Amino acid sequence: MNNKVNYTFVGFLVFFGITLMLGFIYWLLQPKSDLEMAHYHINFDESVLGLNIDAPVKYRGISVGKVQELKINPQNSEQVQVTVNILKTTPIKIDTVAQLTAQGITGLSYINLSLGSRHTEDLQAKEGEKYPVIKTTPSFFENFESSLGSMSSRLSSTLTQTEKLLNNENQKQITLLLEKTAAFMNKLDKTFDEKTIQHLQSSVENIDNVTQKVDKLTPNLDKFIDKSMQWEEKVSLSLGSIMKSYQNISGTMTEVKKAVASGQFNIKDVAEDIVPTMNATLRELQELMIRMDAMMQQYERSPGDVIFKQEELKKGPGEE
Amino acid sequence: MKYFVLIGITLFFSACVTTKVPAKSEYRINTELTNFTNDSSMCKDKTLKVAQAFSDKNLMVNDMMYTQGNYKQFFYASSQWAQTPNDAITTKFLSLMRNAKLFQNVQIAGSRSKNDFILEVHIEDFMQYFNADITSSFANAKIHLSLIDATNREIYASESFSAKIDVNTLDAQGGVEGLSIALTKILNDSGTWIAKVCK
Repeated sequence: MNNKVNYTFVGFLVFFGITLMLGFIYWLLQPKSDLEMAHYHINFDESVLGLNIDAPVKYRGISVGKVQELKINPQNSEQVQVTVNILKTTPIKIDTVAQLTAQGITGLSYINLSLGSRHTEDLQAKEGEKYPVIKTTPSFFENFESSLGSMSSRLSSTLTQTEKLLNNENQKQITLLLEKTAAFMNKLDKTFDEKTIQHLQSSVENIDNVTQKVDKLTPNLDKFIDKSMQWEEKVSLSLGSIMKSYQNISGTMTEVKKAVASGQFNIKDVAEDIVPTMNATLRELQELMIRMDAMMQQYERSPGDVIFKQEELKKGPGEE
Repeated sequence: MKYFVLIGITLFFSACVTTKVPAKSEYRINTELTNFTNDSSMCKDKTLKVAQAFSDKNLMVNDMMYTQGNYKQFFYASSQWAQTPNDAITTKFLSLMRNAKLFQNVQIAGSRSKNDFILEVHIEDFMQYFNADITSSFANAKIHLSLIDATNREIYASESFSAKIDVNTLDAQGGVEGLSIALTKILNDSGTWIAKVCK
């Protein structure tokens, strides 16, 4: 057996292999994230209870980074400064806000980024700032707590007012009011017996009937209005012609007035001659009518007298 | 041709008239007025118009009516008024007022002049009455006078006058005589009344 092994070659191969292995491991574990992540500061005015290192940072529900550091803001001790690493591809705009959000019932929290219009500028670090600072908005619990405080104070105020309202005197008044209301309701109950309710129902039915009839009448009313308008137009035309006639009469009367004023037509003179003659004529007419009446009576009594004069005349006393 | 037909028909019908119509006597009212002592002063400067008398239509025709008994009324067959009683009485009152000289002027009903007073005459009755068996008769006249102030048409004075006269003969002439006497009496009474009113 040939035992001539080239240890130098073997050693070279082993070294080469180890080198390749280390190169592979480095390639596999190289810190790419440092190149793709960006740092931001978030200054919370509230407690960050439940927020831990490596707690997720989500943008509209998508995990885009982690919490890197938690500390009191060295420039404002009332704030907690959280340093987060966020993917550079995440669109952090100047109007993007961060909110501390509870993660289920575990008591853990994460940071949720929201808003940020695509048309606004990207968030940049201002002068004197190490990283860009993302604005915050109070968390749900913060809002709830503040609302609870306000509600508590208002509830307390309401209770005080209620206590004032329900003093002894008011309680008596309320009791009296309730008694009167009960009496009134009792009377109302007596008033609205079955008979009255039936009357009311029949009245409502009658009103319903009237309404239906009015509904039926409405088209006729429209027709009537149309006809009235037509009639009104006709009346208007008639009034126009009456107006013309009146104007003509007025003109005539004016002429007559002028004639009377100028002495051409003196009614008094005319009447002075005519009236006595008319009176005399009327008197003669009256006599004539009486004679005709007598003649007609005679004719009715004896029609043949008109021609034959047959009626036997009754002789008066002393007549032969 | 038609003229011959007309003449023929006229002759034919004229021959048919068999009843003789009696001749009629016409009567007029005759009154004798007395003279009044004219000492009135109020009416001296006033004028009067005597209005046409109001009456029943029987007194506005010439037929002379008479009443027999309580209900029957006839007219005389052969007697009639020459002037209707209505006109005759109106004329008599006009004459009375003019003769009395109580007023400055007395005018007829148809006068055109304006007057201070109007005398209205209402003839309520002017007829001859017989009893049922025509054995007695009387003439009855009843007249109402109203003196009206013409300026305001208010009645200044009014009075009724009547006269009942037994007639002498039971015929038309007796009736006319009785009515004339009755009217004379009424006219004289009326004159006296007017004179008293104007005093």
